[in-house]
Amino acid sequence: MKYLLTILFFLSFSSTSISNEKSRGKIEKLRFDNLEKAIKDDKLKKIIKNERKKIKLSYKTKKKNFKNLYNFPTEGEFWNFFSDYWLIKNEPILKWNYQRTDYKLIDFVKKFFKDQGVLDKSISVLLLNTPVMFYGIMPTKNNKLIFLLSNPFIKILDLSKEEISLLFFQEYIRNKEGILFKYLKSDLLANKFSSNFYKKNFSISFIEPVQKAFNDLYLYKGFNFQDQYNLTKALNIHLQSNLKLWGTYINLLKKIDSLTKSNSLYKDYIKKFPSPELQINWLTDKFKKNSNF
Amino acid sequence: MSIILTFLYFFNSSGSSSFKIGYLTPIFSNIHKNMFVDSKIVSTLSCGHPVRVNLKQRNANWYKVKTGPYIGYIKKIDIKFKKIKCFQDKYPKFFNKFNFSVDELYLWGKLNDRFSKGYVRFR
Repeated sequence: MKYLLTILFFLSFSSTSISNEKSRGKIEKLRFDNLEKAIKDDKLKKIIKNERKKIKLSYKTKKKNFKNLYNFPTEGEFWNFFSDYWLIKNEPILKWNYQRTDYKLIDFVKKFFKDQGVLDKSISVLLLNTPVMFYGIMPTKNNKLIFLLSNPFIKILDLSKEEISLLFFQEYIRNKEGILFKYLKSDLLANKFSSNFYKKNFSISFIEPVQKAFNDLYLYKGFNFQDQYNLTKALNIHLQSNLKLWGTYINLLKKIDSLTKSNSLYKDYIKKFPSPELQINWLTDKFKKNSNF
Repeated sequence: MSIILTFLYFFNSSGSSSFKIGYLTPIFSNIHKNMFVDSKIVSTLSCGHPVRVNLKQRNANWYKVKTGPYIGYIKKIDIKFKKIKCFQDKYPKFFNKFNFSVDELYLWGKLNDRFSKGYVRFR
């Protein structure tokens, strides 16, 4: 029995060693003959390709992001920025940084604009403590409106909130009709919007003509007759549906007209907004005679 | 009992949280000592700066905020609770070309203070 067990033990040992040798041979075959196929089956090449693509893409996006730092603002963003810039630079002239009483004007203006169907707009009002500039709208785009108004001008004319809102509405129409941008736009600037100045010589000298145009428009020259006529025409269309408001506007123009004739401090008004007297004539005589105006 | 108390504590603290992180929206704006624009300026901050807004201490137009060591008030219209892309961040190289002095930046904050702002909504 003992002998039988020993024979069986040796037999089993030898059989396992034979099967091991066989499997080794298989592995060797796999390693040396079908290596490329095995790699293909593992999709390692694809993974490497994808990883390389990812690295290339991230490098490209990094480069693009870096280049984007040198972008020139879009038209709307530039005007918003430059309006603030001009106000800051001209603070000594415009004198907007003074202590004032809050007239709660903005709530009335908001309601007024809503009643006129001007919706989804952000409105900002800045009061100036100077008679150098009377009122105006800053060139902003999209849904932002910035209005400027002289506090001495309000006081001397004793303007009501409705009259102030009407002045703002007039300026809003001026901006909407594109009259304002006629005076401020330049070809040099138009080419720069949304451009990129990466690895290019870039200086801010381009703002000098823009700054001059702002100064001319708001502080010295103002608008010409034709544009004032076009504005009055456009405003008439808006106000004709509300005769009470139309009458308020005529009265407002009469007030301004008598002020410009009686007070030498406000004589420049006619140069900048020609002219209240003519506007009244355009609105009353011509409008009555010719409804097509 | 202790488990219930701990649960109540956490439930209470998360439910009635009166602080929220807000971000400034104007290019520059000021933190004031009191709830009016002529009060003392505590600090001038740039757009996108995060502030801790105390939602309990406010009135119709102002929030009480804390940022770093500064505590004060900021106009509600100048804060958003979602981060926005600011002009300075979008066009940093363009903005830097103007080389604004500290005085000008301070004045920019003042300009933002002096604006009376409102929004005409659809409804």
